[in-house]
Amino acid sequence: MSATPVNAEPPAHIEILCAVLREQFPDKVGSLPLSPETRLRDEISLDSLDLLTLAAVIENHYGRAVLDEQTNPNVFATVGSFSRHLAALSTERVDS
Amino acid sequence: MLYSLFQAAAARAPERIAIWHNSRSISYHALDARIRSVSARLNELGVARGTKVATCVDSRPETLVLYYAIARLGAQLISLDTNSTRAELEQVLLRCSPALVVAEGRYREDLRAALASLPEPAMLISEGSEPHSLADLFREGPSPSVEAKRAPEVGPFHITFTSGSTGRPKGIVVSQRALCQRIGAWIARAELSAADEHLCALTLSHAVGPQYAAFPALSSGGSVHLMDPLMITPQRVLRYLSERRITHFAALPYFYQLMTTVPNVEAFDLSALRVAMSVAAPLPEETARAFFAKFGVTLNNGYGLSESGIVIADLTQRTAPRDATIGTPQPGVEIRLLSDGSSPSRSDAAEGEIAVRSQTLADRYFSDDDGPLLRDGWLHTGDVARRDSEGRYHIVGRLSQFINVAGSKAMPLEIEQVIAQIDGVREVAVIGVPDPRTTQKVAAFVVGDVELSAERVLQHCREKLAAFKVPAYVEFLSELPKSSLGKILKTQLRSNSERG
Repeated sequence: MSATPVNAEPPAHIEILCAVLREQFPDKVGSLPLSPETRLRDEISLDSLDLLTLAAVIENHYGRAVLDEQTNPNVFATVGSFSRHLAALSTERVDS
Repeated sequence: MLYSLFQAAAARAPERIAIWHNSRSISYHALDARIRSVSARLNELGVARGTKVATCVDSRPETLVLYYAIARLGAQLISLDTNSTRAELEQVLLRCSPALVVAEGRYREDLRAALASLPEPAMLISEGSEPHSLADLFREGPSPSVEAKRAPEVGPFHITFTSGSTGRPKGIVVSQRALCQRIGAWIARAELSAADEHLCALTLSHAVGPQYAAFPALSSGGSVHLMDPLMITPQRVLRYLSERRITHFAALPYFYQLMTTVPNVEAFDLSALRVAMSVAAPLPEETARAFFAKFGVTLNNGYGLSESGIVIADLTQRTAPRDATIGTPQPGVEIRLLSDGSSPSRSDAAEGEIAVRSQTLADRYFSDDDGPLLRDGWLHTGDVARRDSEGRYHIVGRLSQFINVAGSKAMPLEIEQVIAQIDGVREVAVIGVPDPRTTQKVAAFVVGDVELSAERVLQHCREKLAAFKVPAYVEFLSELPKSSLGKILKTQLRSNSERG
């Protein structure tokens, strides 16, 4: 796994995300180094069904919906944007 | 006709919510006003009866406003797939030469380039486009001073192009009349009423989302909740179905399969959900069983093509699935099963190619090059089904997908169903690959748990299948190649296997 940069993404979330990406899409991720800047669509070539699968696995891990009507559609742009979203979710009140 | 159906529903309950989108809602009365004002603006731009308007728009209320406005003017709607690549958009636009294209901002540059190569100039309305922008078209507020003349709503209306995953896209032309037959048949069969709450998480840029989710809802006085198909997740949808007491929902089999993996589902109450349609790909029996076991909801299987609309459906509710039946014919639909090229007017076998005659059939293919849609008034689907003793239909496979093993015909679907029974198998696709000795041999591509072995798969197949149907080889993949609609791309598996 690539080194976590100094301007650290919350490590727990980004590490979970990278682990899920490697486990779910071994052919697409391969030996590609993953960093917060890695683009899910363009670099890992995840298509819409892959992103759905990714979201489903992450949801099952966190035990809650990871997207809602307020979510910015660009959340899936990069490893960093998705993990920042997960970090924000986990600090949010669950009763929202 | 399409707009008239909406107008009648709007007149019955003008204050009823027609569309929910995120936390916005719009009543039937307000929606009607917006349809009238957009149709007046389109009319000012020259859109009239027969004008071809191409759209490349997201699943939002404005899209439905636009579709109804086009219908109200008797114009033609070419809905471009929002998953298209630039090359695909160019190819379709070049073939259909629309007079006007309405598109989300992110397609603006691609479309501008594509439109420049058209023989006839076309106007583009998009975000920030000149002289007319998307915001101008959808601007709220009073209608233009002149009410657009309503044209008779007849003739060709909804044109969709099948995805370009296999060669040249094929355009399918559905008339207002056929579309309204599809809507009417679905309302009758699913017993839709003004009390229904529909969740539409299918793209409005294909045929099935508008034709089987949005239009039937808005023709029967119900509310349709729009959700961006790219922003759906199993838990988000479960929460929405539960909290908003949704009664009618449609999704791909794969989405239902993902829903069955959600842990701790006690928090979700799907007791209001009457109809949960599985669309666009065959529903695996295992998915239907797992879904029922988890949620107590019967997934409603069905069969249809863009050419035909849904012609066979199973609307069973709240009972454990017995098998993978696609159900019984829709009202007004004639089905014949043809064995060995027999004529539908003379024969109906217990098993054979599905032929359909119905008022819901498309009018024609967009280009004559794509051949005639009908033969003697019947659509020959290329899909093979059998009919059981109760008159229920079951898909057996596709004619062109028969695997010819030394003269014996193996059906991929049958083999796939057998392999899917094995513990640890998540997905499977079976194809025929060339073999110098037997013409073709059976190849199985399996996505499954790491401990699963080819020997285990073969052993199970040997137990359940005739020898010629047992795969000659089994390959494990981390995933199957799929189209944007979730259909497994067997052509890609075939070319990969030939290369490998």
